[in-house]
Amino acid sequence: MKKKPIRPSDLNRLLGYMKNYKLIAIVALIFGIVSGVGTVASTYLIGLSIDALVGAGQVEFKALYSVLIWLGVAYLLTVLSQWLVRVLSNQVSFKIVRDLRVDTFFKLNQLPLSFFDRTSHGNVVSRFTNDLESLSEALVLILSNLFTGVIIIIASLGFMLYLSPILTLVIVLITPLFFLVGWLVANYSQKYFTKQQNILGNLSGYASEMITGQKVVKAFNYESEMEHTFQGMNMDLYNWGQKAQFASSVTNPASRFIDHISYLLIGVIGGLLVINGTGSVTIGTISSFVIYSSQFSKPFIEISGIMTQVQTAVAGLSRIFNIIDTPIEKQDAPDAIVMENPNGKVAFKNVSFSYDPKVELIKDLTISVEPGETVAIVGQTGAGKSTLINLLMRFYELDHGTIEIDGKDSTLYTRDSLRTSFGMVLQDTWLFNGTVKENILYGKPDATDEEIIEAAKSAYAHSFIERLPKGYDTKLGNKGISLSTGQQQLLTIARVMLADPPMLILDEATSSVDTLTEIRIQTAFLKMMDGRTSFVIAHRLSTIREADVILVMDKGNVVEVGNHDKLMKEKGYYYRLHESQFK
Amino acid sequence: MYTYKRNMYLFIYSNFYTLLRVRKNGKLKRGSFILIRLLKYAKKNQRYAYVGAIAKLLEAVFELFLPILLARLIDKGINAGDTAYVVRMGGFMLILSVVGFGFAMVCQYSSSVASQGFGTELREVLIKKINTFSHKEIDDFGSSTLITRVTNDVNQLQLALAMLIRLVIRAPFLSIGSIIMAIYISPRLAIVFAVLLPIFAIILGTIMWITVPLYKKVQLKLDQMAQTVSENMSGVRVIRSFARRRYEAKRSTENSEQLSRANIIVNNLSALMTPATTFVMNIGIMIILYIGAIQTNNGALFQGEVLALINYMNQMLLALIVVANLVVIFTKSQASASRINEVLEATVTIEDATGTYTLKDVAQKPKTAIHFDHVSFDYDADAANALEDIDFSVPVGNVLGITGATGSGKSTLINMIPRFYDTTKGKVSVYDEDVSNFQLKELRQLIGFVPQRNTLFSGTIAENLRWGKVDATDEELYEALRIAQMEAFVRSMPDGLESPVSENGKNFSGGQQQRLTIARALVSKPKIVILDDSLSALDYETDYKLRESLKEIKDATVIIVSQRISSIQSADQILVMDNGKLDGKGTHEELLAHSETYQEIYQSQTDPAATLLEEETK
Repeated sequence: MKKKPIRPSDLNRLLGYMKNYKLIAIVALIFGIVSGVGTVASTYLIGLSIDALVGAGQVEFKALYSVLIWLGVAYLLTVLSQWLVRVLSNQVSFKIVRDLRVDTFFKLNQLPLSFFDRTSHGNVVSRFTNDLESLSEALVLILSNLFTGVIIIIASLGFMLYLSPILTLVIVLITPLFFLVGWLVANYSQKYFTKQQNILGNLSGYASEMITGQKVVKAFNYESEMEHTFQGMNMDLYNWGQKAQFASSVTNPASRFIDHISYLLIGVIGGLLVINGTGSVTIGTISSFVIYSSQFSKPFIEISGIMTQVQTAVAGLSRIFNIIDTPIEKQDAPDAIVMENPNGKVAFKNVSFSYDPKVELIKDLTISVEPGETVAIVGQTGAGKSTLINLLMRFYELDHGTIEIDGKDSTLYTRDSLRTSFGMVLQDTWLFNGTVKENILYGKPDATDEEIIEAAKSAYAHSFIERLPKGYDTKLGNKGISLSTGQQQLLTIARVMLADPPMLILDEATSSVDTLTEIRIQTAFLKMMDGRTSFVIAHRLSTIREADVILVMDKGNVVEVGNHDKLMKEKGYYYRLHESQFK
Repeated sequence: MYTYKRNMYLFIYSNFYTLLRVRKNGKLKRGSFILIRLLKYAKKNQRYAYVGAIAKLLEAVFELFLPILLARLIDKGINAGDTAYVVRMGGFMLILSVVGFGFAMVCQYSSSVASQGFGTELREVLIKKINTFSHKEIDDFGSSTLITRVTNDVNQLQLALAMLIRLVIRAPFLSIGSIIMAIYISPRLAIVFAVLLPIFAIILGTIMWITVPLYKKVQLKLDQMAQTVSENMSGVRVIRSFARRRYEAKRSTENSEQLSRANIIVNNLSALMTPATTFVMNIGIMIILYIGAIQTNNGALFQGEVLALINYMNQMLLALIVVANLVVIFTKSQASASRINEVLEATVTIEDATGTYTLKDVAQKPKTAIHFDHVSFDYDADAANALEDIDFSVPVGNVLGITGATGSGKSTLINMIPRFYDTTKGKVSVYDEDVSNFQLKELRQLIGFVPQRNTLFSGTIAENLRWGKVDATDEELYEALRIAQMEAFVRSMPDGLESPVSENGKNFSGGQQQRLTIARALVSKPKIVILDDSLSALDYETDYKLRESLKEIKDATVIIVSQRISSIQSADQILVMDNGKLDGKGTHEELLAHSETYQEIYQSQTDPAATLLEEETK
């Protein structure tokens, strides 16, 4: 983990989240103080009781008994408040993190599509899980240890000064050594860790590529080459990993050593003071001091231990705020219209758009589609076919121009009503972890079982669904069964068929289905497309021929428009594509 | 030593937590400590492991002596006013501390060498083992879990070993040692220790016993959270097109709520550990003070000795917490260890031929490149046959086309040729020799295989192309690219062959990826070229040109698997697959005349869709 400076603004915002739980936090603080005072008090009482054991026949039992009773009270208070502090800190920390999670998710839900297309999904997932979990851990630790720790430091220092200023001086001089050691080790091991992290990243990346591509590795007899490269990385990892592990593991024995030194210094210096009779030091003082000194240094060690965790948490926190701070999709205007049963006239007027301002894509595009027409979009990968869909659905905003639906600028409609007016089937199928039924229901949660089966039948999915172990209630995904890409595609088609939207977008909807099944689905599609404006992207020219309008795209622009016969007569780009199919 | 108590609690707490996060399907196999079995891979650095453990033990011995020396210092030095004695004892303690520190460092060093060496060895063994896997084992495991096993699981074990070296001897020794020291000081007061020890153990055990399953629940909720977020990332277009944002938000809010509740419950319970054990220890201290007072009064005990007893009490508790932690580490590593062990002990289904049969031994002028002799195959004994009674042969230099619906067995069939799978029944021959008589390496060198998924690796174009032939010249690479219709494109790139390729070739379009993977297969000038649906992303024009230039390779036998009739119709022979069976074989014309399936497929791609549809709906 790279050290990042703590942004004060992040912490301020975190404090903002804490506001709702102020009362609990304050009570936790009070119990923290009680537990700190109790801890120090019991140490003091132990000292008193040891002092009472002067020697044979000289033990002052009466004094001892009352001290013991007080000790019991102090113990009980300490233990109880210790637990309560923890319980209350748990309340505050986990609830803060819950609020953060909900807020971040809410935000995520409103981010523009460009965020999802650019950001690694695993990365975002880890912010919701790892980052927020480490934040909650750190919060618990801070809340339950910080105040107790500070109180213990102050109180121990006070008691130590009262018992013996000279011995206190010894301890106060030694304590910074803990920090020094921690700091030195952290600094020293940091570079090893960074190096180790890098190599580990490389090695994992390499292993994951090679294991994923195992079948290719075998096909090309690449095993020994790969083992050789892997071994090189592995040895590197060993060299740096061993150094990093050793360097960081020095802290523990070193602080233990310092602890031992202070232990023996108290013994020796204290002993000399007793013998010389200076500074009113008694044997009881020494025994109390042994405990005070470790009690005094304990919070320091703890806090430096917590610091690494806090560091991780703070880095996570800023990653979370990064999501929250990403500008969200432009909100619907307050007077936005709800689109209802559009007749489906669509027009692109002088539309310009590019993902990257430096790379021009769609420029000054104008097309118009009459209600009920089927528009086929043809062209090579990267020609901008899917971009048209992105614009139509307002997943991305135009740079220039307008898209009109039913004669009105599409930005005048609410996004949700605009989007639900289109039924969309994409090449990348998306099914979530749930039953087959739940997945089909996604587009129309209130559909009846009959409607579901009807939709599945139209999508030619019914027969394979019936053959699944639990039919429509079969679980899909992680803990369930996995379907073939073709079957997945059929399910997403059924989902759109159930939703029965007024307009359709089919983006390579049947690319993973074999041609026979495809033809069958096509029947259902044709039925659906009848009377609905539809946009179809397909690679197979045979599926495109029947379209009313064919848009042939190349490099972001529509280069030819017309129906199949017209384009064939023109003998242009479309003609060439078509001819190459039957050579 | 008192100092570390709370630190240890923190440590345990965080360890508990990670334990259960790591351990998703952590079933404990009965009694078998697989980790120990895996330790054979630590052999190279075995002595470091022993040295480490012994050094740690010695450090503990020295640590045990400190309290008793302080007791001496007080009782015989201070009470007797003997300055020299005080200084001498102080000196002893200093020496003990320094020596103890020295041993601790030796231990830390040894354990870092031993554990990192163990991990390194384990990773290497694993990768080598995975390399011997046949496709069946890769399918069975799945690549994502294999990756986790090589990386995360090994790291987990590495950590566990480091901790074990440091703690496995020391902790039990310290707790028993404390009792022995207590007996030495005062046998009667040592009874307090003997009584408290099991009580501590019971408290620690009970809390762990209750909380471990609860942590699993937390993990489950966390996994759900991860799933929800991940689904919302990948399905963003679908979610928004159905306007289901509010529903998704509700789902995740519920999820967060449940996660926080589960977390609070389990953390409240595990937070009991510190106060509960401290409380018991405090009672012990009070008893020691009380009885100690009586004994001191009787002259049976000294003041300093009472103090030492209290110190030992602390030490015993600490050591016990460490023991509890050890159990946690053990269980944690157990899941990883068994996952790794599964890989190492997996039986590889395809064994390399023991003979040294090579291409040179094959008959000088064979006529048949490939022959399938009544081949049947199933992926799983319970499953239906994926291939049934496939019988055909391909003369050298011919082009074979294979077509059929998705799942009809096309890919399975060609996977038998490089022996990615072995037949269940029947025989596959290459150049008139049973494939199982070839050394795998030799056999696969004969074949240029282009898999269905375009698997390119991060690096440069040249690095990717050289997979087939490590020492290929740039000329040879360009030659392969020319045939694959990629030469002009690569030459037009500013860095040419050295142009970067990102993981999975994502910086190239689907069609470019396919052409690169085809070129890669051609670099070694293979005798048999197999294209497994590798033309699908090409436009028809490029598809055609590519097939034309493939014919230039002398004596090469080409197998093209495709759903597109246009890609295979000019082949010398076409196989039509249906449900794992050979539905027809022959030329395009013959099949059009005789094979119904072929006719159907052909029509689906050539006739205007509507006519066929009309017939169907009638």
